[in-house]
Amino acid sequence: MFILISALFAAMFINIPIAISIGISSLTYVVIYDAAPLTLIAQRMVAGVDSFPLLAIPFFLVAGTLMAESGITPRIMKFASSLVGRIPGGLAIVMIIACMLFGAISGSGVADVVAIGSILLPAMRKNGYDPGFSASLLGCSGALGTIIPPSIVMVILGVTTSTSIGRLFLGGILPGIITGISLMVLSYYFSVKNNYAKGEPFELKNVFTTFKDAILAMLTPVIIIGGIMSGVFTATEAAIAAVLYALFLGFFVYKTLSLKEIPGYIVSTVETSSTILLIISAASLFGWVLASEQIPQYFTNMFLSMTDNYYIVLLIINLMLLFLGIFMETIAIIIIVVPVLMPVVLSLGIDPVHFGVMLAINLAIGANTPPVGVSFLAACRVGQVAIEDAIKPVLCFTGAMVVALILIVLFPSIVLLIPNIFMGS
Amino acid sequence: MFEKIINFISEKFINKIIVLFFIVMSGSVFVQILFRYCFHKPIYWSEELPRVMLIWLTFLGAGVAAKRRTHLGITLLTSKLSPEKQVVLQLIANFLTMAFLLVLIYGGVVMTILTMPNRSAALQMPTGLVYLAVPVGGTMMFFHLFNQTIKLVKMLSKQGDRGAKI
Repeated sequence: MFILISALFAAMFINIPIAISIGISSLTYVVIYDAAPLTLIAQRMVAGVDSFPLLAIPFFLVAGTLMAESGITPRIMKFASSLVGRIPGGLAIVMIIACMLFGAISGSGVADVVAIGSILLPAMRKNGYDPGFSASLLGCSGALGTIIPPSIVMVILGVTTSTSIGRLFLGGILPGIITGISLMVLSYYFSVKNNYAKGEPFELKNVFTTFKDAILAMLTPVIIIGGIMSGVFTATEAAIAAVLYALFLGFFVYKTLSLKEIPGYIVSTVETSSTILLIISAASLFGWVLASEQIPQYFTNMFLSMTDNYYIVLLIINLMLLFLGIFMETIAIIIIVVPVLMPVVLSLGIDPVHFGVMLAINLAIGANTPPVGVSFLAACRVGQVAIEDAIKPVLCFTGAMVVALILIVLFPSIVLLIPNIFMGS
Repeated sequence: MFEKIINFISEKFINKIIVLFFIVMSGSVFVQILFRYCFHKPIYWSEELPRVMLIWLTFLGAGVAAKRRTHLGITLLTSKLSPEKQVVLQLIANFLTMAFLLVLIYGGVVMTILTMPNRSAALQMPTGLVYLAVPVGGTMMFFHLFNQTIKLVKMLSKQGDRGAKI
């Protein structure tokens, strides 16, 4: 076990791709202990992605790309701006709402950050917002995209823990809104304190016209979430419906897509999803090694011998995840840590959907902690802000997210309410 | 020369296959929904085909990601080093990755040959064709990485020359 873990971390820290690092460490184990024939590597890696639910990943990614390319982002932002532009710190709140709405379309946090940030950050700078403040808020609200359905992180969680992806999606709705509101409250406070400019005045007519412009794009989450809630679609089928809808909007309504560009989008989407899928594929090999070493059982016994108090266990798990999130990538944590944690979670009667959503929020916080948080770094890059200038505000915003996380850990019903209503308990 | 051949294969050939497989994959999921809701008749191949396509796309896409160097990695430690040390470490990382890929390709070839006589449940397709994705994608990754490694070595030896002259 020691060899496995140290090989894994050594490989990852000299910047070998995570998927290959997982593969190399498992291979080292297999060779040293002569545990299995070498064909196991190829066999497990194929089995790891031989899964129908995983199809949702490329489908959601392609739907998000098509939506962004057909120019729905500015429409959503204009709508949000007409709603809340008047409030002090209006643009900051516009950013959060736009990220939440776009997160409900794209399914990926970093896509959120790039799509929203490239338009809103320059506007905020012009209006006198502190660039470090705007960039760190962008990183945090972009990460909401991993909590609000559809979410690729939830798809991966569902597949690795054999939990219903539909339930995870529905479970993310309320926590996503609560986290969004906590970010809004904090940015309102900062905006009043720093006297940030107000945006456009509130006019019902304006709200109406921008709503008309954005409504068709905002129907996407209705199709996805509504389809899953009513039991018409599985997550994968909802994803393909989203792709078709995006094609329909791009070609026939907004008329901004061209057929010539489609192959390029497909190749880059397949490339992006493959960087995720290859990690999942290698994880299946890693999981085989973990299981043959009985590491999950060993870990569970060790854990439960320390404490079996529901709240203390949740506290320890959350602190551990927050710590790992500081220097590890979101998907890597899910793939490496979750299989080990899952038996502990189940043996204590923690609902897997509650655990999954909690984990997603936790990792969204991790994605915003310097030095390696992907969402934070992407936001700094988009806003051309030096990382040092954004560290102080980002700690405030992640603080607000931690408060939301604590609420969600303490009250499982926030997560479970919607899935229980629509899919039974 | 080597770089040109590799880029030619991946752009003219692999990328086309990716687009084709992606369309087949989405199309068959769509057809599945259509048949279930409109004709109330589920079709037997509509779950197996997209799964096979996904396996192929994972490994073909991994080749594209190797070319564009977009595989997810951790640069926390390496980015703090001096440029020369970074190059040396990158070389080590590339060699280890290539070694792993060789094992992967070997396993893939053996599995392909072993399972060629087997037929899949729904499509009656040789199972070996599924495993073939591993050596094809693995080889593309290997070649792209090999190409990048050559470039790194050239860069390093150029720097060495300059150092000697001074």
